[in-house]
Amino acid sequence: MNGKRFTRRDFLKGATVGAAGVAMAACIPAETAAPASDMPAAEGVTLRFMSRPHSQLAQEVFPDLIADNFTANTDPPINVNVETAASGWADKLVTSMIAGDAVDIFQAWPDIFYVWVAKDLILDIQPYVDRDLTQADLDDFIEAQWTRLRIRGIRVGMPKYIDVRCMAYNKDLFDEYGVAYPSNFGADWDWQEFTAMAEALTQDKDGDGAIDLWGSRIVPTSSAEFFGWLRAFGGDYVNPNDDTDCWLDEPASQEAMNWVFENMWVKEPNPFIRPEDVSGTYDDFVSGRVAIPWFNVRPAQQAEQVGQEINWDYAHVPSGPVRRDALGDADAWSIWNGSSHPDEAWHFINFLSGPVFQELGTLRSEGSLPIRKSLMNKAVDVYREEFPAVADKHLEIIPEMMEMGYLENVIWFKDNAAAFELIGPAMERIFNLGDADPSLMIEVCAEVEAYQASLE
Amino acid sequence: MIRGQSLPSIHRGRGRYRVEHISGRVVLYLVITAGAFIFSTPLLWMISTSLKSPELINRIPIVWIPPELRWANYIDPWVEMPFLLFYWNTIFITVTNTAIILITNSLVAFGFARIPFKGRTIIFFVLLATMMLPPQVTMIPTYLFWSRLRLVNTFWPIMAPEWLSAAYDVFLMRQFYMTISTDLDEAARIDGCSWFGIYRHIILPLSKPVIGVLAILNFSFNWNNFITPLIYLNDSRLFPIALGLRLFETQMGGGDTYVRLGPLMAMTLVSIIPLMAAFFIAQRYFIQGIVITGIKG
Amino acid sequence: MAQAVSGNSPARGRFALSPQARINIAGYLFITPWILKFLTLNAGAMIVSLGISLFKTDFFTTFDFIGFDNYTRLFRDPLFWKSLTVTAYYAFGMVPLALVFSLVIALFLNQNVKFQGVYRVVYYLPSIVSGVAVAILWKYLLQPRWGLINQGLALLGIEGPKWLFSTTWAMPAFILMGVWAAGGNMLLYLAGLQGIPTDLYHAASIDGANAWHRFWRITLPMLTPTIYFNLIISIIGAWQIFTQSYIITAGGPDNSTLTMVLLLYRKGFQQFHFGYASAIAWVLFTIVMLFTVLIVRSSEAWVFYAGEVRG
Repeated sequence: MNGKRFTRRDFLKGATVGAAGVAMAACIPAETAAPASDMPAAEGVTLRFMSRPHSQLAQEVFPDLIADNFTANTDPPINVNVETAASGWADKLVTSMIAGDAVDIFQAWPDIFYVWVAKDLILDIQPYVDRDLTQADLDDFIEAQWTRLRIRGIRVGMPKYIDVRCMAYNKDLFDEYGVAYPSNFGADWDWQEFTAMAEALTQDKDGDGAIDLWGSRIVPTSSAEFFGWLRAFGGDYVNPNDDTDCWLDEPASQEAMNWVFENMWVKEPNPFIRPEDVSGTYDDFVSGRVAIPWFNVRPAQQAEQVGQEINWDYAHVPSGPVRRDALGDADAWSIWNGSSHPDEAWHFINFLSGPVFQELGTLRSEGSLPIRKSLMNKAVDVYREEFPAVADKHLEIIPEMMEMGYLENVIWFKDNAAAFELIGPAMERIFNLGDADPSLMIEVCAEVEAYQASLE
Repeated sequence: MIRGQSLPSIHRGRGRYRVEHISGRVVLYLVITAGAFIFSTPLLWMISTSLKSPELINRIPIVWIPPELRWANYIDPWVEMPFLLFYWNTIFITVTNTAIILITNSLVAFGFARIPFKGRTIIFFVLLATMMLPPQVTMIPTYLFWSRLRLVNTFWPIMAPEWLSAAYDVFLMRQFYMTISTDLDEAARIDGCSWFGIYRHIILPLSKPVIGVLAILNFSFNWNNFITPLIYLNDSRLFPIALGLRLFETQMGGGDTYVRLGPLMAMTLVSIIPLMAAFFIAQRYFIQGIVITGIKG
Repeated sequence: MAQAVSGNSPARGRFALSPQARINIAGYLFITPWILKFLTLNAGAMIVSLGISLFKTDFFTTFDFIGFDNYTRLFRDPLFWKSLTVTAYYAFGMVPLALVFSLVIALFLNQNVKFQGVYRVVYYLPSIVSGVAVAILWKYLLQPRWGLINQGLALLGIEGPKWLFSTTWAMPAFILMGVWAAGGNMLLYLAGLQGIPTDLYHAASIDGANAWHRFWRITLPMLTPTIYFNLIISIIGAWQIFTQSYIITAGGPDNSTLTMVLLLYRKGFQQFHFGYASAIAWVLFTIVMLFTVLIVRSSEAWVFYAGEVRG
């Protein structure tokens, strides 16, 4: 275990320079094509980069990776100070942006971008993209993510990694209760099949009269997860064409909510676990309390947390009455609008999203999913090699998801925070407490719309 | 007069208390042991968690003793992160701050408690008022202050404000000083002793318990403080341990937080050992200390 | 201070200050560190935040003076009233409980027991373990079906509540956490107990007072300065409760743990309504101030100082 980490670290720190050089020459035209009108001539600049690495290894190797593969290829040199951020970083960032001494580059996601763009805190990188990226580059990004990073009329940043959602299923439990596995790793199943399986897998295993195995777990209070189910039924949180129009009162959204509500609070026994019985996604799965949980495809985490404890595999999310939909999360590296080195910062984030760093940094060091289609098959190989505990899993689900093209993103209200101040507690009443049914959302929606419409 | 001797030793020798005494002590031991058990359960859980592999951590029913003790949780982090450096930073900040705080706070508290200067009551009220505004709203103006002085990413914003006294400590010390009889300082004043002389020779020797308590509280506070370091330190080589521990948490997309619980618990436990040791030493010290000074008084 | 200097005749030179003037100078000299801190760090920040509460501002794009609009909007905001009741509930539950509980523990641990130091460490420990470790720990302990607390209650034949999954029990769960971490208060009482002159107990024993009488007539009155301190500090702390609801429940379920500081944090750092957030903070300030004034005013009647200096 330990030995392995050292070899990986050594590999990433040392042996990369050669490989990276080749990849650089082949894949990053932007690096050399940079005309950069107002680039300082002499001793170069130092960028401040707030990094939130997803693994310990990444925390260790990022400075070297960047020095060897980015700074070494810049002239005049663009040095990068990697500032590892601890949780609470967002408050620090806001405070330092107000004071005017924030980092040049940071990482965030659409909930945050939505607010920050409105406050003019994020540099629009569209002009740089138009200038430096080729069509081949653009085609290599995952479309849902690339589209999603245009927010309120500007391009907020370059994609960092992609976090995709799927299901997982515990084969041991399927075998034990004689339920057939989802065919084709879920590529064919729909919500009705899924519900039937969940019902069959809701059991009182120890026979003490209380249910201790539930079919599935849906988290309707997480918009990142639940919007997919809403869309599968043809609904949504918000009208895609009018960000003041709440859609949770639409029949399709109501149908989706009722489906979850019934399986959670009405049916006896309830095939979807109630929040109060949950102990944790991985724990419930490994301990055999939830048979088909919602998952993120994060092989590094799953190798550690689930491993070989049970016999399991990944599955696509089931399609709903209308379509299939799941989140492809859009984290991005952005440039602070107050940065005094926007050109250099652009070169740097372009490097971060480029094939070299995506492979060495994102995939190999962080164990996260890269943002380039061209790296997806490689990702599968790397995961098999680096994380033997998930080597026998259907990791091909990753390229399949890209191909099937059902990954999407949440759409936000005009003032999303204000909308969710009303929607959140109502969702908690319905699904976490079970003391209201989804029709509650009809009146809440009216309140939301009244407020959103009042905004100028 | 003798201060601070604990009660039972006084009536230990007196016959008519004996029965009450023995049954009372049985009850006493039962209660404090039961309480200690409840209070230490969370600690036991932390110890157990710190020795588990990830998949065992939330296992229900709880596995108190993992089949295989995972000592790697205690060892790996030292290689992965500069914990020695984190400790050095913490020790530097904590020890310096605590030492200076005790001096300035006791001086300020003496001023408020013993010297009847004009405006004392209202100024003391202002001091209390500084605690009543939640730090979340004063954070931005305070950051602006340090930012304009170009002292962000140094220890100054973490240390200097502490040195200049803290309302909590001053209030506590003032309360304590006001329980010490004024007879002695009046006599000393007549003898021509200065205010500082009274502070130095009368009040300070009598205030060991409160200094002991404040030493413990300030030591713990500075040791555990992560919010000011988080806001003011950019370079991880300057991080104290409390901030270093936050690096075990990763926020994935959408605010989904992933925590490596085993190593986090292991390192949290390691980090509170010095606090426990400090407490253990200090609590003995301040109790013995008071008996001695009390006899003198 | 200026008035104080005027009393004596100037003819006696610059050292001829009146006694009160000398006292004033000494007093201000002693509190100089605090004055410096107040002038550099506290006063500015407080004035700025008070000023900002009169503006509609995000610190970036808008900075409009709107007078008391933030305050009038506040009083029409149902979320604000919700947070006010939630916070008041916590404060009124937590303050007396923690006050009494930590006093009882301190009295026990002040007895001459074996391994006294060890017991003290055990009771004090929860107050120094902080951060996310504690949040995770409590989530686990409070889990309705599997958590240790409800399992323990089940052993006693009690069906435990749903804690963080109940609008009724979420706040009591926070109070439980607060009481668990009351070791700091305990420490202060312990120190206070050391300060009680033993000869008082001797005298009382000779008079035939039993333990109960000794407690009411000696221990409690002599501890009033510490109780007074703990009371004020606990009130200030309880009204500012934030971390638990921020980390553990995010204000839920159904806003039942939405505290005032969590609301102002959301309004400020997440929604950029900094003026509004400041207004919440100043309402909070006013409430705590009112309680403190009440306590300070009443203290003459119940707080006993052996060494009070008047003037």
